[in-house]
Amino acid sequence: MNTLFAHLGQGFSVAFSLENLFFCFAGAFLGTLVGALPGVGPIATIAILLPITFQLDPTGALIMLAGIYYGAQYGGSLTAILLNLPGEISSVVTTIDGHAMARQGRAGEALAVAAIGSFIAGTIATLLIAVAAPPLSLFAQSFHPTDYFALMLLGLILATALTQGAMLKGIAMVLLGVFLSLVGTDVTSGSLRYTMGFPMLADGIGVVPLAMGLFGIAEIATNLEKHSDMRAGLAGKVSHLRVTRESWRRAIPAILRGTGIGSVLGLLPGSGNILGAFASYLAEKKISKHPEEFGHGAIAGVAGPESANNAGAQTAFIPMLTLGIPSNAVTAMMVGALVIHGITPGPQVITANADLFWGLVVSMWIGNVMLLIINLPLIGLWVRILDIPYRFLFPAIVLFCCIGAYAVSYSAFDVMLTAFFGLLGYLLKKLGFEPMPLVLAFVLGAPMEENLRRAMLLSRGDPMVFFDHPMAVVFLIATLGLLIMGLMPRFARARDKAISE
Amino acid sequence: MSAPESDTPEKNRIGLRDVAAGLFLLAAGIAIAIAALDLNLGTPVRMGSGFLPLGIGVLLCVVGVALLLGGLLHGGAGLPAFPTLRPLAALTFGFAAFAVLIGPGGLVLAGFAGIFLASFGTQQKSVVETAIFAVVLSAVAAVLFVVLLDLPLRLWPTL
Repeated sequence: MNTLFAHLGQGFSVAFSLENLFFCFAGAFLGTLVGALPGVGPIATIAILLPITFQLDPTGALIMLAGIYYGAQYGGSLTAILLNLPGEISSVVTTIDGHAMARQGRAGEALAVAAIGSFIAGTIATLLIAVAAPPLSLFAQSFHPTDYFALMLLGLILATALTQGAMLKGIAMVLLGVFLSLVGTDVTSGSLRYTMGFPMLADGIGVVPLAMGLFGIAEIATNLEKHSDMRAGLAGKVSHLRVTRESWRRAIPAILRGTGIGSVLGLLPGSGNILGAFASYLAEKKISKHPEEFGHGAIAGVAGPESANNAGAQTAFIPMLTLGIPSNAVTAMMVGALVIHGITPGPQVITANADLFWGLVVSMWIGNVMLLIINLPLIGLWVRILDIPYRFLFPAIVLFCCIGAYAVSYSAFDVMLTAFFGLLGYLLKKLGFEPMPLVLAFVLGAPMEENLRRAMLLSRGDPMVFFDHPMAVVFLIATLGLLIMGLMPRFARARDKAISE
Repeated sequence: MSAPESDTPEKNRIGLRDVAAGLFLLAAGIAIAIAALDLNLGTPVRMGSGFLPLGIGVLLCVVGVALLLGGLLHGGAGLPAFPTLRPLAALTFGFAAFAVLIGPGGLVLAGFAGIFLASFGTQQKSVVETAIFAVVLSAVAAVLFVVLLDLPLRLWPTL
């Protein structure tokens, strides 16, 4: 307990520098701003805003990114409640009752409960990270290369199993992602791979062009083709943010239950926070005394899933911070940002970069406070932003992306690469692929190859080496089990049903 | 993350979307595997730079064939609809114009060209409106990024 306070104290001393507070605020503000643009989800928001953090020192950059992430999440809730436009799948649930409330003129109430619920969930989940991270990373330091390889493989396959769509397609995305991570100079032998004669590819593909193209551009293109003007019309006015006492009585237990559900499911790779939001909604509906209100503006149907979503978004950081293994596209981009700043993600970060680690943990909480400060008083501003026609917004986003992609390393080639990944992302989307596992595999590809090679070298090529390490065996068996279950038609149908519910 | 193109695809007797997806993966897998053969494959003990890529190429082919067969035998969604390629083309040209112009032309020119071309992604603006909008927006970007954020970008073309 004492060490917990010592750690948090260290974090506060880092996060409470004027500079870092500012980065946290700026991140949350910009994240909400971009995330509130209709049709731009949190992943696209982070991809778009990632480059502006590269000017900062690593700690400041991560703090700002975390702020951007929470801001983007809340921006997504705004569009879900006010416009019935979910920025990502996890806020689909929020649209059900949140938008119903907005149509009844209770938009302010829904937004306030969403913000305060997210804050409570964020606070609890942050404490959870602070408690769980040190022992976990200590445990992870005893990992052998074989364990690492097996764990990363398990994470990737689990991500494909928990993501919407056919598992076979998810596996294809994993393969493509690992392949793309291999482009460039092979660290072991120094030879060039798949650079296709472009000297600019010798350093490999950057995570910014990849994520920005796959999520940002592809998303804008499909949005534009669906409705050339996305201004969907606001549902009612946001006149006040008052929440009645009766609403609180129903919302508070839902918030706490949502936090519990979301924290646990958020640990799962892939779409943990999506599962959390859906599971929380179903749970609330099941135990409610007024299940008939759900779908017609039940406050618990907003409070629960929003809290679950935010708690899951937070605990998703645990595998990334303690193992260096990202579990979704957002944390994958954070790992990319760490690498750009010269920090190798892994269990050693917590001791080797203790200031960064605890500063980030505390910033997560501060980010949640910022959101309350930014969102509740500034709600009028966000509403006005929602009213800007998309035809004016998207060229601005394009320009921002161009400058962002260019400014990472002042390379015009990166801008072209972004456009290329935009085309690829569009094509993949049309063919029914979900690009999330690709980004995950892209970030994990290089360490996976390295660990596999190291394991093989240490064991002189004996694949039986995996059986000398019980942890690796457990991970591999779990991977195999998932693969068999996912690819067998009978199990696959049950899984599709479970996920689509 | 937005939902995949169609959440509840109408089920056709032949799933052309999966057939196309399978062919795409097959082509990618073959290309990757063939190129891997030019690299040093090495042995399982000392894996060369081509070892993993070859494996990935082969696995992509396997997954591609499985998807293709699944689409042929079990049916599924039909070919995806491409209502208009205009937005995608406009965005791509916008990025390309920015990439070409940012070096020699500076931020103002590249920004203007990028915004101007990308704006054609929607049909709802007149050319004049688009041009004015592009001028204003690139000026704002110049002030924001170069003057305020101090990015080392040139504003104007060098003569």
